[in-house]
Amino acid sequence: MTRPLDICFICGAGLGSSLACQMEAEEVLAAAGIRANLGHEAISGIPGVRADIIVSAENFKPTIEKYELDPDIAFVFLKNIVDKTEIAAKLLPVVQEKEAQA
Amino acid sequence: MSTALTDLITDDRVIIHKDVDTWQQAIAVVAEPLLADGSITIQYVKAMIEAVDRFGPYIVLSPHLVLAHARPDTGVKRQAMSVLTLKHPISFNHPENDPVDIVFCLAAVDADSHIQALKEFVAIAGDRPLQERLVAAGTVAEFQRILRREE
Repeated sequence: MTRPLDICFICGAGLGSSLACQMEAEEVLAAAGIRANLGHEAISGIPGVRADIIVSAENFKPTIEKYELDPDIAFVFLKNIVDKTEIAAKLLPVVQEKEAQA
Repeated sequence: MSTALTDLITDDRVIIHKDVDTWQQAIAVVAEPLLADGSITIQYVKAMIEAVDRFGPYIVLSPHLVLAHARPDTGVKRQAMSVLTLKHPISFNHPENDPVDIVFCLAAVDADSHIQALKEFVAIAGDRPLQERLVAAGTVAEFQRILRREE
């Protein structure tokens, strides 16, 4: 059994959009039978984030890319952060890839 | 203890069928009841607008719907939520989800005591037919009945 992945959801304040996205992703991952540790954080806290995957909205991409983060972290950027279809389409392949590496 | 969405959105925190010209105005108007009842300070209103100036319109969570919010330390006194429906939809400069016709405002006191309310909110964010009924509501009482699934 591999260890569960750490997935961190990032938004401006770290409590509204990121938490909403985390809730939707939780259901998507559960439906796919994937165990993972989920958390959420404000973008200002991103230098301290230890995660396998960071999930955020498209418009945070330029800001997030400015930080020098661990090169092993995979990124998922979403247009609609509460759209389960988009979350499943973009997040699940990255999760599977990460699990294959582990 | 987690509070339900409908406990946070009391009658005096619902503003219906208002006309605004800009997204900044929409945020200022939806925040008015929370400012009036002391849940937030004027600094929080500025922080919500600045967050969009800085990071873009990510608060447009799904098509036509906004969740305005900022960090608790920018002026939240008490957990609360308010909501505004727009008579004429406006643009938040979002590439996919404009125009916006319903704006919620979240004042959270920490990272997770609003989890229950946010869960209920996410269900609304994914339910456009329900939002259309909320936007069409002509009175606060009607809005509340739809929000509380009483009709």
